[in-house]
Amino acid sequence: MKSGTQDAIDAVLAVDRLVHEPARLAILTVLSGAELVEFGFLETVCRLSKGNLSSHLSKLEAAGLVAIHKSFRGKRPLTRVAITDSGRDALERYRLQIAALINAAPVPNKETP
Amino acid sequence: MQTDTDHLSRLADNTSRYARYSRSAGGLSLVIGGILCLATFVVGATVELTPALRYALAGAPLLWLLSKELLRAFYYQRAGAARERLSDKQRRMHLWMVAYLAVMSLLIIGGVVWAAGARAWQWPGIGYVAIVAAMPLVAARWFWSVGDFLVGVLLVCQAAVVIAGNHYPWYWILIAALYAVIAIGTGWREHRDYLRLRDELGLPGAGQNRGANA
Repeated sequence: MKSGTQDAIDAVLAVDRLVHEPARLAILTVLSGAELVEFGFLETVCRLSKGNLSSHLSKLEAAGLVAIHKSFRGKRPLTRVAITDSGRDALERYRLQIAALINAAPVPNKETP
Repeated sequence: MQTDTDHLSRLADNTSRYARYSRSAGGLSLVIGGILCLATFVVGATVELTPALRYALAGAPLLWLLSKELLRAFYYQRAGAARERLSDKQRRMHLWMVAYLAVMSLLIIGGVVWAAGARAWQWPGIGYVAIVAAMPLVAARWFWSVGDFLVGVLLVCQAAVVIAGNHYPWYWILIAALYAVIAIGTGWREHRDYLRLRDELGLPGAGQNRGANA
């Protein structure tokens, strides 16, 4: 039988690292609140540079967590992003794991010695 | 960590609130719709309608839809479009509204064709039929809330009636006033909510209304 410490370590290691990265977590969270989001809005709200955002979106797309639609509005390229069902499941699973970890952690003693 | 999960919930919630302005939240466009609705019914019932005035009144729904699109693209969603994710309940409600309008349109057009015969296909009868036929299509594309439905249907109906050379009787002003009050109140509340949201998300123009919102 595993010890409590071993269980806690296993739980931490089981967290999806693709989702756990702060920028990607913010991207998925924003996408979960809408059906489809333009690149510009993600850039503003997540406070990421274009290159950084593109890089994270590529990783999320490769994992099947987001779908990227590229088109043109006049002569300007238009990139729209949507979270997939797998992405929604992954985000929900991650939040449950984090919530379970928080609940399992002992409450620190705030009294000063 | 708890604070982080709270932040994430708030971020998702704020995105949903922002995305509402793509469909179900009209904000100032609902205020404009309410004012147009009341104004067109008052003018239609109290002023001698010249041809120019009739075309102006018939154009009111177009003016409203244009204001809706411009406000969405260049004001409420200028930081980038985010399309609202509709719940099953919202989808059903929208479908029923459009289906109801489609049935009513068919009944009205059927009644007009039966009563007027060949005259229904000559001007101005054809104008009336065209506007009534367009109503469910306009609703399918633009009417996503009860406010849109109330204001939009009244505006389109009065456009059809005035283009045919008639006008609604004066007591319809009371109904238009009631709908206008609902639309203006709802639209103004949505607009105030947007100003708070803009500050929370740090969107362009954030902080300009901090004093007003305090």
